[in-house]
Amino acid sequence: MIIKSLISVFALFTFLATLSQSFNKEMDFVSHLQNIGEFEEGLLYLEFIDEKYFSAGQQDSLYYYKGKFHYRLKNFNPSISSFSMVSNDSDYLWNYAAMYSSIQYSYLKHYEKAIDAANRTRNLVGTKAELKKLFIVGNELLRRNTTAVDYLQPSFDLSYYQFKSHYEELLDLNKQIKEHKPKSPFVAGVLSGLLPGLGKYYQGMIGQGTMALITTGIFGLQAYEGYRKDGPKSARFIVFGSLLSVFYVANIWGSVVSVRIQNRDFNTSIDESILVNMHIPLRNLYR
Amino acid sequence: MSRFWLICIFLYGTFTGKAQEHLADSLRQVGELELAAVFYERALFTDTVGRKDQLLLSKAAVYKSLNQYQKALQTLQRSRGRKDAETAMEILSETILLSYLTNRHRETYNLLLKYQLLYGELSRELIVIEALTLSHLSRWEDSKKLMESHAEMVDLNQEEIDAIYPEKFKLKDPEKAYTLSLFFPGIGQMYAGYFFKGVLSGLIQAGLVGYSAYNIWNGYFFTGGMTGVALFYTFYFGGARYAKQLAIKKNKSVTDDINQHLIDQLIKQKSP
Repeated sequence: MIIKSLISVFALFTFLATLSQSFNKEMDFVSHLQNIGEFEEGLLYLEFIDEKYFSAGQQDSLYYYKGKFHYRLKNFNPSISSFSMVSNDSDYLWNYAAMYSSIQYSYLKHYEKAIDAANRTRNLVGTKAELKKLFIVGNELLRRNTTAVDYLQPSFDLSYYQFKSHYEELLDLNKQIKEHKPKSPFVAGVLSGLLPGLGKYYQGMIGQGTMALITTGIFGLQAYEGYRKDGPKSARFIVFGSLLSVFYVANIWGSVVSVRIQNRDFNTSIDESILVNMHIPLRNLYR
Repeated sequence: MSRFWLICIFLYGTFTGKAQEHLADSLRQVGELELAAVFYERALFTDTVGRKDQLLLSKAAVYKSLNQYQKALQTLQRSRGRKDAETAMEILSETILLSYLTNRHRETYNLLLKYQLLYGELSRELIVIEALTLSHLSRWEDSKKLMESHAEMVDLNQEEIDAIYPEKFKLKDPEKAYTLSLFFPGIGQMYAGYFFKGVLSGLIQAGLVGYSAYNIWNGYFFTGGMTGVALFYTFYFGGARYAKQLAIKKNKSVTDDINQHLIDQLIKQKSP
């Protein structure tokens, strides 16, 4: 029993001593895992190396890698959480963590937090400082705060060739947002009530509108035929009349839903473009 | 407690690749498979004694145990350069198995040919895979012949082999099924092997023709034309397309059947 505990103590002591020294080797291996794209394996390994045994500076590297691997696996919240443990000992790691947290907050639609994260950076110069500006503008655009974007525009430094095209894209998206006139679901519904298919025409979907017109027309004509020949209580009239009603109502409802979807899709596609214009320069500057 | 001892071994493991390999082996034995995979990678990273291929095999085996066949295959494909015949054979054999498990049947067959070219005789496991692969490629006669010529090795008699493979089965041609249904509604589905679905389709379409005729005869032109004729048109072409789908489905179902029988028979051998 005593021998066992003596051995344990000895082993633990040597383990702690060696681990701190072999740290660089461990980091080399983690970097290797990153290079071959084995992010799950990397996370497993990082979990296994308990951070308690490392110095503060070394812990930062661990958290940095954890954040990075989670990011590559698109685990936004765990990534942000790991990055938040990175201390401000090293400007590079601190800024890296802040900027990647920022973009992930943007993807999570937490735009204020994204802006806060970008503002947390310290001692930025040159292109990296310009990237921070790009992030702020991007997030304001995501919040649809077009006046803020207009206000910030003069501060864009277009002499940075890396950012020129991204700035131009963002300004173009700003213009698109300002000029966009969303279709009204209410108007679509009312128009479809007047004439089946008219709501779809209003939306711009000529094909679907024509289809609606034809199908309701088919049922309408058959209902009419039934009414004329057999009277209002006949089976024919009732069946086709009911089908007509069903399609008529469905068309109204369908037009309303369709317009809502169309508006939502517009916003989604704008958001995607904004995020891409932020993400690409980020990946280029902070590899 | 055992985790603590693992960490102690880890202490020594940081020094040599061989020790890391042992660590990985121990992890594998206690069931920590994902961690074992990482440590095999670790050993690969520090490998100085040329154990690369062995380590790749071990790592692939771990992923195979985790049923991650694609990953296991990718691991093995990292093997490069010269190796001794035994290791090369083992790697190729495992690659064939994994290729089959990831449903790459054509590639599996090519690899089997390569194996035979290089090493001659196939092992029992590989013969089984070849039979299954041929079946997946719809080459049942070849599959059957293979089983017959290796009957001893797989320990099946002629009767049992005959029971696995259907007497005369040819693949159903989807295009033919389509055309047949256009020619006469319902025939295509019957050709594909679904008799009653064919009858049903035929009856529906006949009914629609009758309905259209009745309506138009009695002066209900809109109804006859729109409900009757239009619906008939839908069922006519739809039925033909359905017949095509059924032919494809039938082919798959027969293949799966044969493969299941094959596997059952061969597994039966292993557990007496």
